[in-house]
Amino acid sequence: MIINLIVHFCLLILMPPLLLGIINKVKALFAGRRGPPLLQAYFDIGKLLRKGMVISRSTTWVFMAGPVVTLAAVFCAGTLIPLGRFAAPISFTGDLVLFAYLFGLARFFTTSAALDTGSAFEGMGAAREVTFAVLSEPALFLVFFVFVRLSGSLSLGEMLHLAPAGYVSGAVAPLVLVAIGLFIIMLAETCRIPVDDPNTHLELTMIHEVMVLDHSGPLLGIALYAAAMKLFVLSSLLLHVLQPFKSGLAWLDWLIFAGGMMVIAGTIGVVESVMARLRMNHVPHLLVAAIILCGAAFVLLVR
Amino acid sequence: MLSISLILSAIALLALSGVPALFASTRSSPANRPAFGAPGAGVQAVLTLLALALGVAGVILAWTGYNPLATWLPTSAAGGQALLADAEARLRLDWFLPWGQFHVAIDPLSAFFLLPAFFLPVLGSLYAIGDRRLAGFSQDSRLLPLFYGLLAAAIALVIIARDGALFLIAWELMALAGYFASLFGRDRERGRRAGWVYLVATHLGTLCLFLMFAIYYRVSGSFTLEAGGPVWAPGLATAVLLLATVGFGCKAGFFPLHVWLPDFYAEAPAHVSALLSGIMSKMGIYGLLRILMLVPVTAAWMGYLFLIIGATSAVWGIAMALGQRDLKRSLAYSSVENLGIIAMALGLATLGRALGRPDFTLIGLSAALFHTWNHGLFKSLLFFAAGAVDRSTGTRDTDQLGGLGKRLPLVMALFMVGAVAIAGLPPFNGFASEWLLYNGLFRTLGSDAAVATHFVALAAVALALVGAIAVACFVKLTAAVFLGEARAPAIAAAARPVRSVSMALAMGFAALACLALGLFPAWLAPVFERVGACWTGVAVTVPGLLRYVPLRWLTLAGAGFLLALLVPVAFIVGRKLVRPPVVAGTWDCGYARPEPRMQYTGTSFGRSIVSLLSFMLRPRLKAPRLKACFPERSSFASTLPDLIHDRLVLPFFQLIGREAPRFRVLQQGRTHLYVLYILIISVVLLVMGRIASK
Repeated sequence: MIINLIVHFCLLILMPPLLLGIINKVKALFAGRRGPPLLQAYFDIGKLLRKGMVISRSTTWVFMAGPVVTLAAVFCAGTLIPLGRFAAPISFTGDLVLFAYLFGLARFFTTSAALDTGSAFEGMGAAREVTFAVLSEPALFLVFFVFVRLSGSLSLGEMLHLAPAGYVSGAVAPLVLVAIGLFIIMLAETCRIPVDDPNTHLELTMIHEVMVLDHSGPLLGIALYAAAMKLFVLSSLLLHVLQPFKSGLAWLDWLIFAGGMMVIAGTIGVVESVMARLRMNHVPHLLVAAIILCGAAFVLLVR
Repeated sequence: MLSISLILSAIALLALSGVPALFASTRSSPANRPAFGAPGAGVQAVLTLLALALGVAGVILAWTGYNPLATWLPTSAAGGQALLADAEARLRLDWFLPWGQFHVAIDPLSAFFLLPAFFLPVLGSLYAIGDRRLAGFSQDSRLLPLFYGLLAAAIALVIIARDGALFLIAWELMALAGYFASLFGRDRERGRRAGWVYLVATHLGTLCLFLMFAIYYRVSGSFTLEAGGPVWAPGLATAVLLLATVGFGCKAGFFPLHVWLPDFYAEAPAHVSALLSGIMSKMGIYGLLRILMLVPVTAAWMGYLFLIIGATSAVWGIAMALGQRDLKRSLAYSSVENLGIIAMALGLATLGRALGRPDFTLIGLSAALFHTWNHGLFKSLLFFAAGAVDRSTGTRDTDQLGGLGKRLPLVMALFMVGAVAIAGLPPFNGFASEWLLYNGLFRTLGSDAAVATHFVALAAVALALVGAIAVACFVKLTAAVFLGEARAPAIAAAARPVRSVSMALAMGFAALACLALGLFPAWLAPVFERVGACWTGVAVTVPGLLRYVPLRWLTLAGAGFLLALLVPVAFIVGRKLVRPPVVAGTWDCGYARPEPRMQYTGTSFGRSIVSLLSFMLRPRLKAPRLKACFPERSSFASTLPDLIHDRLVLPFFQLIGREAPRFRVLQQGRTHLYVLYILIISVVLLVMGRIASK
């Protein structure tokens, strides 16, 4: 029990940058390059944390609060979500709303920090971030509806452990629809292709990267780390729908979980390699598709 | 008896709290009266504080049923016996009017609404000390404290009135005091216009209430507002409930009855706006709760109606709030949103009563009550901060402001507390009440096969949408006013610092209350259960609110979040100490001279969401159209007019304005003719009555 908790925290704290490494490796393979080492993200973050900061004279403390609050909020969300078949450190009835709203809190401070610089680009990125959240937030709640309906529970832990039983009891279609919808939501929330391109710092078309344009040194390091952790947390949510099997052995289940996470990261890498980023005004269509998929899943369940 | 005397004396104190201001000297210049700047504002703050003390004592006595007189006085004395016999928190006096009586009482529902009604005026009058000093002096600002006190007193009287006639008198007093108090804003002309619209709207609402009470009187035989009346015919109950929804909904500002509200709240002085939005609008909710308590609801459609009204108001309100340029108008529209959220919670509670689900009822009612308090607190805080910005810069146009955080750091920090709280984000109180509502809505997904309530859960999707837009809206307000660089440098350069202890205290108390209620919501669970028992008339059974929704976990979650925050904060602060950051200009992708005008304004920040919702909002764009090879100078403007106001309300009143003059034949200003009308109508009524009685 205690060991599982420790493993949970270790994975939550240590694993996120690895996912970035896997994504970049897969993308490099597709492009015929050797690519950066798997652990490059750790090196980057470590180096950034040791550097000094350059801060704009337009900014106030809100600028620094952006990455800091985001990291704390995402970390708290990470303690609410069960990893694999193990229980989450914190679990109570209604924690799913807290889970969603912690990301809202992170969004509040990330976008405020971006606007604090007074840069037009960062304002643009912040405006996009809040706009796409307007579509992805309802979709996320529709996903929760399906889980709540299937499991009869309002806590993330029980919900995510019981809902995949729907694969056995005949609710396959809703779960498949939800899996696709959740994947789209994850791509949008973590700002990956086709919604956002994490590699283009200098284009006008990005969301997350442009918001942290002025953050430097430790602040940028924290922002990158928090983004990786968000990817980790949302991927582990998705993994519950994709991989409902359990072996019963604790070490094997942890291995299965870690492997599943890596497969998701690899899939993201494949998606990023074979797809182009959508035009900004087409992104809402993708997110509305996610709403429709999740809504259809809900309707299938309660009909 | 003691408790009601305490409450009544508190109300009297509130009503009189503005009177000393009338005698204050206005001749002295601001320079030589630094301490209690505005005439009488300091006195009012002290008197409202006294009223709060008396009121809270009264509420506590009424709540606990404890009668100190019984222990102090020897029970053998005859007077002691009489006092003991009348321990109930109730007072009935006959009066000079032909109907009704002076009947006031305190039950848990009243007590719950009384607390903010006594607390918010204290904050407001505290804020007013600094605000009035910044505003400078004028002759009629002596009247503002008078009407402010009357407004607060009338609100408290509405809450304790147990007689239809007294209720309507208090209601009308509240409406008029609110109107007069709102007239002392910065722009008198616009304030008068907004007040005029409000007067028309509030009286249309009151008309519905007159009709409602008439039906009520007809059925129950008296104006007494007490549960346990006669059996209601379904048709009449429906009529009463619909009239109450319109009449009280007008005061609460439900869509589409909100048209009077944005301008009215925006033009009133900040502390009056805080009281209007913080507690006067809640009288609509109180009235609905009271009527739902008196008139038995057996139909589920009432719950669905409130859910639909609430969801529509919430989405419409927050989307309109996002599109506003005026800071206070934006806050006013967000009141529509928050009252919508309360209406959704009320809908869930009503549905629970109709379907016989005590869990829906208890959770929905708790969410409605909790959000009532919470909205009063954070909306007051935000209106105070907006007022401070207004006083400092002389403008409320968010597209002109910016960068005020460096000049008003405390105001910014407190505004951000309010913004995070009102956006419903943890660990503040807005999250706690919305979380309650989410819990209730998610429970409707349960597998109770008897009634299909799954689609009620769709309200949670609306709430999620509202939550996401609310984050955008309040990020926009924070950023456009306080962050970045000033968009109109002239205004920023002229911005005066706000150094007022009383304003800081008022905002600080509200912010602290927001955090405290967000961190310790479980303390209120017994309160909600008690009010729930009073409202449904059924005692709450063993699995109380905390069994349905584990509110205590929010304490742990909030504390955990604050702890988790410590690590990165300590790290960044440490790094800053070890290696002081280099200060430079904002990196603007190689532009040589970044200008403040290049920043995103509030309007441009909100534009993408507004255009996403343009199918319902219909923003108006005046874009330049290219005609020739060499385009001339042109301009671009985008506005977001209120569709209901422009397309529905305005045409209707224009039609009345065109057609009504025909009736001027009847009203031509000759008094003796009017007396004749009265005589004729009296005779007709007498004859009709005689015929009917035959």
